[in-house]
Amino acid sequence: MDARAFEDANAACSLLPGPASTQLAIFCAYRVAGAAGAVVGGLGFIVPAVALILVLSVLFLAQAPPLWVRGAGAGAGAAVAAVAARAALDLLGPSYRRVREASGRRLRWLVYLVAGAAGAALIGPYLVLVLLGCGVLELLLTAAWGARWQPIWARRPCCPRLPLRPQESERSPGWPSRLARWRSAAAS
Amino acid sequence: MAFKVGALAFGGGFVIIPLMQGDAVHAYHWMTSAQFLNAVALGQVTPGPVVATVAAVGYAAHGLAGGLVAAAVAFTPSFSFVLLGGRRFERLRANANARAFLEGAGPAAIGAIGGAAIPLARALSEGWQAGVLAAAAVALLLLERGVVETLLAAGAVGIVAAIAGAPVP
Repeated sequence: MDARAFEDANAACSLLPGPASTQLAIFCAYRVAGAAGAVVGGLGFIVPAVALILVLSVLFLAQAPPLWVRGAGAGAGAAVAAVAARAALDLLGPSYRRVREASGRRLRWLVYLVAGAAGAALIGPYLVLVLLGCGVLELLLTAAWGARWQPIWARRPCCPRLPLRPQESERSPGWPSRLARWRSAAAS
Repeated sequence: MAFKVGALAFGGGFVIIPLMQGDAVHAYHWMTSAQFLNAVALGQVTPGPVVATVAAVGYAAHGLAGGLVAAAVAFTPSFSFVLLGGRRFERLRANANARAFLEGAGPAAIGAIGGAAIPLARALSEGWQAGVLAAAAVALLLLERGVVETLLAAGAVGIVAAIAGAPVP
C-alpha cells in the first residue's frame, strides 16, 4: 500500500475500539492476501505474545511458586503503578496539543480526563461506562452545537459591547453648536 | 471481561489495565492484587500487544484453557473490524462522529490510565515494595528510562530482597 493508505489505516485503527497496533497489523496482512492473509498475519502478531505470557503465567501465577519467582514478581509488580503513570504522561502531551487552541474544548478535555482518573481510582469494573459516557457526551455536544461548541462563560459576546459613556457623536449637542445650527437655519 | 478489553477499550493499550483490575481482582476474585501486578508486569516485559495481558488473567481464572479463551475473545473483535470494515477505513478516518466520540473517550482513557496508578500502588502489601515503586517512579518519570529495563531491574531487586529474607506477598 502507499503512504496515504497506510496513514488512513493507522488513523482508522486508532478510531476503532480495541488494540490499535494489532488492528493495523491485521489490516496490513489483509491488504497483502485478503481475508486469509488477515487471519494468518494477525495470528503471527498475536500468538508469540500470548504464548510467552502463558508460559510465564504458569511460572509466576502458580499456587506455590519458588521463592525467587515470588521475589521477582513482588519487585516487578511494585513498579507497575509507576509504569501506569508513565504511560499516561506519554499520552497526555499529544492529546492536549489537539485541544490547546480552543478554550471550550480545553475545559471539556480536562473534565473527561478527571472523570477517567476518578473512574479508574474509585469504581473499577464500571470504568468502561465512564469511557463510553465521555465519548457519547462529546458526540452529542458536537452534534448539537457543532465542533466549535464552547461553554457560555468562554464564548465571545454576540454583539459589540456598548460603551458605558455615549460616544462623542451620540451625545446631545451642546448649546454652542445648537446656536450655530439655529443661526445657519435663520440665515438660509 | 475479555470482550470488554477487546471491543470497548479506547485510546492507548494500557487502558485495559484499569478495565481488567476491577473485574479480575474485586468482582470475580480470579487473582489476588499481588498476582494482578505480576500479570501486568508480564504483559509489559513481553513483546507484542499489551492486550495479550488478558491471557494471564484468563490463566489465573481457568488455567491454560482460560488463558487461550480470554485471548481469543479479546482479539476476535479486532479481526472482525478489519475483515468487515477494512474497505471503509478511508471513510472512517473522515467520519466526524467517530472523531467526536474519540475526542471524549480519548482523554477519559488517559485519565483512567493515570488514575489506575492509585489502586495499583495500593495493591502493594510490603514496605520494601514502596521503596521499589519510588525508585521506579524516579527512573520512569524523571530519568525517562525504558519500561522493560525498569521492570527487569525491579524484578532483580525483588529476587535479592526475597533471598535476603524480606517478606514476600
